[in-house]
Amino acid sequence: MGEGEAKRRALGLVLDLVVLSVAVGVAYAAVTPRDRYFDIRGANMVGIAATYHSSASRGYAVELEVEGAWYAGGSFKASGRVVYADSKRLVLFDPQKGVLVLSDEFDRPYVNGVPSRILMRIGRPGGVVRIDALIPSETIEPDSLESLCTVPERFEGVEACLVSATVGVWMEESNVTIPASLIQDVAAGRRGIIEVETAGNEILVKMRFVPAGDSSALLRRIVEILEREGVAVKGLISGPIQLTVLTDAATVNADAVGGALREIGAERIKVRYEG
Amino acid sequence: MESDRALRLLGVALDVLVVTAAVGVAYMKVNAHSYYRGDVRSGQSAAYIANFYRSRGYSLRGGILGVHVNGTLINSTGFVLDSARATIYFSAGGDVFLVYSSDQKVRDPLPQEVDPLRLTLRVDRNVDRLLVSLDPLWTDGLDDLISKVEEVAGVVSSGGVDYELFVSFKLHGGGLSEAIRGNEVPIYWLQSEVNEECSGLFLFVGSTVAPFYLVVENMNWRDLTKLDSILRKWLPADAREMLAYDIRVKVVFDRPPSAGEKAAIYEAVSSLEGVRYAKFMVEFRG
Repeated sequence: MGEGEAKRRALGLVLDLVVLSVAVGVAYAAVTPRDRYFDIRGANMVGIAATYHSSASRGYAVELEVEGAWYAGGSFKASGRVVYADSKRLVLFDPQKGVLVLSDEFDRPYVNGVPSRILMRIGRPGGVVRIDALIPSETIEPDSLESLCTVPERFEGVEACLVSATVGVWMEESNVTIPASLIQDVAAGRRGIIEVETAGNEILVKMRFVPAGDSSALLRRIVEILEREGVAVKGLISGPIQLTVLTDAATVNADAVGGALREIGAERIKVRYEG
Repeated sequence: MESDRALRLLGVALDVLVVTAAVGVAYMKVNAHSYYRGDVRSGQSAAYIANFYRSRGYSLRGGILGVHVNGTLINSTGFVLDSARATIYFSAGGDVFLVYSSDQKVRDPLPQEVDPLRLTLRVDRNVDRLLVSLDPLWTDGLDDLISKVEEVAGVVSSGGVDYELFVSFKLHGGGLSEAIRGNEVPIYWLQSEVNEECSGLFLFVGSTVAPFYLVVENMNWRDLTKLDSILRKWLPADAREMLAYDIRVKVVFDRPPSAGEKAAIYEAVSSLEGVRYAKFMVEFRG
């Protein structure tokens, strides 16, 4: 074998090794779990919700970075975890800014902002535990929902305790005496309100992941306004209440929180690890 | 001479080709109006397609990938049960969704349910459905109506073909009207609770100058007990005696029943007391 032939063979071997290394690398990257990013432009709420739900159902943690416009004007940047997404709205929990309702419904005053770009990071579950508990409506009066959070908030490392429910104010008289826009404006002052309907003798408020203090404060404020306007309230109505507790996985024992929630009447407790 | 024969044969062959092409084009034209298979993202387009084919007596089935307004991902196969101006009622896994998309310019005055990312529709002509119309009946809550629907279901199931059953009806009563007018019932709350808990659509209709009545559209019959318990929770006792009218029971079979099975089902259903008529059809149109 000549010297040239030997060199060619050596070069061939080196090339084979390079190709093999690349193939092994690609195969390794494909099977190793890693973070994935979805860059979603515009306010495509259905696409965002579908990506969130399909990722969450596979056990991934979903974190978001959002750029958009405030409802009141001006731009914003927020980041945090998705706590709720449906075909019209996205509820984001930003540790700095709190609960934000994002939607493409520009005409609803309780929408905090309209997203223009969303970077969705989907990764392995990590240091946050989300505990969802369902509490029957008979357990508590609608105007004292915040008391539900006093028990879980006793645990150290609890990031947030959020309340979701549909509540209603049933009036003695028809609400023609109170402008619907007034009720909408009162609701806009609170975070996590996704729908307010005023019709006939009723006001219906859909709350999704409202900070505990805000949940009953809104109802009390509406009742106070109605009474000052001379409209008597016949009753307050509530559907089943969902309590969501976000905790630090390292410091809080999820089972202990679940046990405490059961003591206050919670049913169907679900624990999920997030990023 | 030989070349003349070849020329004639070529002419005949060309004629055959032209006739075949003409028949083919005519066949395709006819079928083009009776066949649809495709994906849509817009609820309004879906409603248009459904209305077009349903009005010509064809059924549609397919799959939906979308997000429910209550925040759940829907990824199911099913069929179009009904359609309105700009909405379709899509049944999947025993549930009934109203399909709306956020890009719709025309909206029916109905609660939005599922916004589709992809809706696959296909005309399905190999279908047999049964529409049963019932005479009005007095019912306490929904007791008597539920018994009557169960009676129809029992008879249909004796035919031996698996099926799903949906009910549409209206409810009216003097006590009910009085209770709503007298503010004894939080009617919007009731409407919202039923639409959250039950399939199909629940509405109340009326005003201070017209009698109130309740409308139930395309509800899976398994949800009637749930609807009854919600009505009992909110309606005062003297408002629960109501007249159920305009009752239509829609039966969707898993496979088309044979001629013998159809005859047996038709005879058994028609002989039930209170059945106004029963008819087999490809699509519900009346």
